[in-house]
Amino acid sequence: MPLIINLDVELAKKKMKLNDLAALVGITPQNLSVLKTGRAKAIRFSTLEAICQALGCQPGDILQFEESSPSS
Amino acid sequence: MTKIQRISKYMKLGCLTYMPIPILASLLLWFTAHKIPFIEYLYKAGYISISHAGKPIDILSANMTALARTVGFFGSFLTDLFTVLIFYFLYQLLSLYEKGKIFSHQHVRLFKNMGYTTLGYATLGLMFSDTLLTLGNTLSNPPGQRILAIGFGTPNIEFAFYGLIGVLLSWIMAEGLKLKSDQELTI
Repeated sequence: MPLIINLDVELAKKKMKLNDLAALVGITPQNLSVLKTGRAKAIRFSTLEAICQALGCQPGDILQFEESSPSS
Repeated sequence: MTKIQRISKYMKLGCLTYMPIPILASLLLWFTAHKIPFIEYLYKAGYISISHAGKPIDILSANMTALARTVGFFGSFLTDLFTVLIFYFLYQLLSLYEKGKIFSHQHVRLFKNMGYTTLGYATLGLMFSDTLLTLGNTLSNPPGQRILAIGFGTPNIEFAFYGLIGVLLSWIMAEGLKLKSDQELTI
């Protein structure tokens, strides 16, 4: 998947645990884990907004697009 | 327990109770109806019957040979088998509803199975059943008066339609499952 989720990087920077972030955002840790592990198919703007507010970061800090390189 | 679970529980018991009845009834009628007075009375009164092409088969006739009865029984057994199979899938479906599982891959699979089984019943089941029933009904006749027939008529088309509806429902449910999965993976 070309979209990389850097949530664990931001969590480490803020020294925050996943469960704490989930409580602040208002979703279950299981749901947040789906995002962290890259299994999510979509994210609501409201959720992204809440995550950025809790971590004090930009959406681009969490979501990174990397074009998949063609196999040689 | 929700109303779905409650009703499913009772319907599940109904399915379980009904499942052995068609085959047992066919066995009883084909092989013992002419020997047991009570069943003979019920058959003559029209409470129970085995009919073919709209006419009841004379299973009470003493002239009907064991071979004719066996062939006729397999004719009934073929359609009974499909019926039992459909009720078995329905039983599994109701078991899922009873446990509170409303929508999953298992449900899709069961609807698909019921649809294809009904289609199989409409095409192969009814067709060969009719053939065997005709043969069983006439096998005891003198040579030259025995009939072997294969046909495809309105009941076949009717059940084929029901089968197709079942298969279509399973495809629609499969699409619904994809939507559900997308919804579950939307944060």
